[in-house]
Order: sequence, then structure tokens, then C-alpha cells
Amino acid sequence: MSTDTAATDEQDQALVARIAAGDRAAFELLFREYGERVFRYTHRLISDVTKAEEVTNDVMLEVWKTAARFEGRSKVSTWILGITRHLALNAVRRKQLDTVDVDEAAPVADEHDVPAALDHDRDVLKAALAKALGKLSTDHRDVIELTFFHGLSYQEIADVVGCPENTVKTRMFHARKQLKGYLVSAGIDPDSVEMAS
Amino acid sequence: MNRREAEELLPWFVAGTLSDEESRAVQAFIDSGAISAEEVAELEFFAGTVAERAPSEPAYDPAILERALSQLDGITQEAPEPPLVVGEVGRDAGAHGRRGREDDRPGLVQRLLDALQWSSTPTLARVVVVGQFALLLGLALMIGGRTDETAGTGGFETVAGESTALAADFSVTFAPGASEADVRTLLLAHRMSIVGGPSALGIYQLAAPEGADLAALATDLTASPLVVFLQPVPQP
Repeated sequence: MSTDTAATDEQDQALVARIAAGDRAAFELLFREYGERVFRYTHRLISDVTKAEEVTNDVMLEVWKTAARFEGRSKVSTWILGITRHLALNAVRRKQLDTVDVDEAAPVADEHDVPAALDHDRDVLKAALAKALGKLSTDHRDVIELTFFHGLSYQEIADVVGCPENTVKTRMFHARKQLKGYLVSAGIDPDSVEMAS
Repeated sequence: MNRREAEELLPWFVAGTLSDEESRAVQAFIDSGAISAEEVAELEFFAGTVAERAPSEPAYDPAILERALSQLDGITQEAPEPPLVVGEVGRDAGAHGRRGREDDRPGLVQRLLDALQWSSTPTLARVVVVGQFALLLGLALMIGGRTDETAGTGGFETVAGESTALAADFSVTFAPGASEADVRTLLLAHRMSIVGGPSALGIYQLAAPEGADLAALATDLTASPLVVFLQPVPQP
């Protein structure tokens, strides 16, 4: 854990302690810090704005309700993202929102979604990658989002998701493989595109 | 750390969330060329794409905060988990030198006795209850002893021998035309077992040996021409 991250977590833990004592101002500060992250994570999991807003609200109210039970055994961010994942997946189950598993979905290129599949430039690749991400199973997408969007270590992801660290690495391996497969089937060779910015 | 382990950690190397020691180890593989610079660049590009907010993503509405604040009054905050006090006997606890609020609370045994209204139960009834409990305990011990004699087989033997009840780690489909000998050689090489299947779709459930590196196994199996499909089984 870097010094900055450790300092942030110390501040967050202090906020949670104040929230446990019923401090509304501390709750507001924590909400301002995490609200958008929770919303983005949820939206990327369930692709429904209204539901994502509801889940964000529920997650933060759960933080308010259970702050006294937070024992500081993980980072505050890991705790909050764990609650988020749990509530978001419950929302998926309740509403049966579509989360397509790439194993079940045929990775066929959609010419409307990737209009310039033959122009192997960075923007096309970005668009195709973003679309391919949406095709991944929740478990695989989760690992990618938590790694690159939320900046969690593989140990923290194991905590949030509730699985062994090796499973996190395996999911990452397969997610990358599936993404590449999707790009290739969409007529894009990721190896042929200049990646460096 | 070997090259495979370094490759596994590469996404977190790019994300900057590895420990210093892990980062140095991965960097050494990149410097030596064992991990290509192209692979690192590809992951950096990928990381940047994920981290960016896509144009199609909705904007976050800060009004959610106001809504949550207005709901706080209706929510009862939970108290911290109470510490579990074992061996405390309620009113007698004070006699053992304990002080503070916990001394005033009845212990687990006392609460159980209170719940059973033990003190108000007639003596004869108490004797009957204790006797029945002793009888049940004796029966349980006798049954337990008999089970031990059969060494966990439940009194019979199976042709397959003792059940290992291995949990599946992978769902796998083998290539059409793969011979039994080929599959057996592949599985023996990795000390793996078939614990389920084939399903109607030809999918087998494979179990890895205890403590095996599942990611490495998945890579090896996927690299084999005998395996045409592999998916890790979610672990509980």
C-alpha cells in the first residue's frame, strides 16, 4: 500500500468512525468521496442508470447503518466496493437484467457497433474494446473494472469478490483471452495496432 | 517468481498495485525481454480504455446524496458486534472480580437457564429432563462408536474404494477424436482427475490436485491441442 493510499484510508477510517457515532457531516464527506465510484461500478455491472442510482443510494445507507460494525480489517474502499458488488448483483438477480456471458454469446462482430472494423486505429480499437467489455461475464468484467478503474490490488479484489487470489488471476487471464478473441472475430488484430500513446 | 507468475501479475503491474518486491520482479522479466514490451503496451492501452469514462456512460447525478441524507433519520444504526463472553455465569460474575457494564448482564448459561425457566421448574421435572438428556447423549456416543468401527465407509465398500469427493476446478471439452490414452496422459501429467461428466454436450469436470496453481494449470490445459474448451468452475 503506498503512503498516499494508506493516508487516504486512515482518513476514511476516521470518517467511518464518526459515521458510526451518527455524524451526518462525516457521512456526507464519505458520500462525496465514494458516491460516483459506487455509481460507476454499479452501472458497469448492471447497465441500468435508474437501478445504479438506487443501488448507490442503498450502498451508502448500508454504510450509515453498519458503520459501527466495520472493524478496519480491510480498507474502507474495499469494504464499500464489497457492499456495492453484493447489492448490485442482488439487483441483477431481482430484475433479471441482461449480463451476457461471452462464453454463451457468439462473439460475432456487429458492423453497426464497430463501423470501421477495417481501419485498425486506436479509436476503433477503443470502441471495440469497450463493446467487448460489455460482453464479458460479470465475474470477468468485475476483475477488470476493479483492477483498472478502481485501482485495487489482486488481494483486495479477492476480498471484494470473496474468492481466492488465484481465482482472481485466472479470471483476469480468461477475461483478457476472451477480449482478444472478440476483437479478432470482429476483424481487429490487436497486435497490429500501435498501442503506445 | 517465474515468468508465468510474472505474466499473471502483469495487469496489476500496469495498474501500479503490486508490492515493491513484486513490481521489481515483473520489471526484471520485462527488461530481460521475457515479457514483451508490446504486451505491456497493450495492457496499458487497455487499462486506459477501462479507466476512461465512455461517451455512452451516463453522468453521475450528485442529487443522489440529497436523497440519501433525507433518508438517514429513518434508519437505525447498528451497534458494534458485542464481544462473546464465554464462561460468564451472570450474577456470579461479579464475585470473580469482574467490573463494569458486562458484570450487570447475565452470561450465556444464565440466559439459557432463564429462557428455559429452569428455576421455576419443579424438581421432579428437572430430574426427568436431565435423565432424558443423559439417555440421548449415551445413545449418540454408542452410535458414534459403531460408525468408527466401519472406518467411515458406512459399513460397506465400493469398487472404487474410498470416496474422495473432489470438487471440480475446471469444465473442459476435449477435441473430437482425442483418444482415451491421450486424455489420460494429459491428466496424469498434471495430476488431475475427472470428477464429473461427460454431460450431453461432452463437458467433463476436472479436479486439480490440492494446492495446485489453477491459473497455471488453466494455461497449460488451454495450450494443449486436446482441450478445445476450458472454463474455471467458480470456487465457493
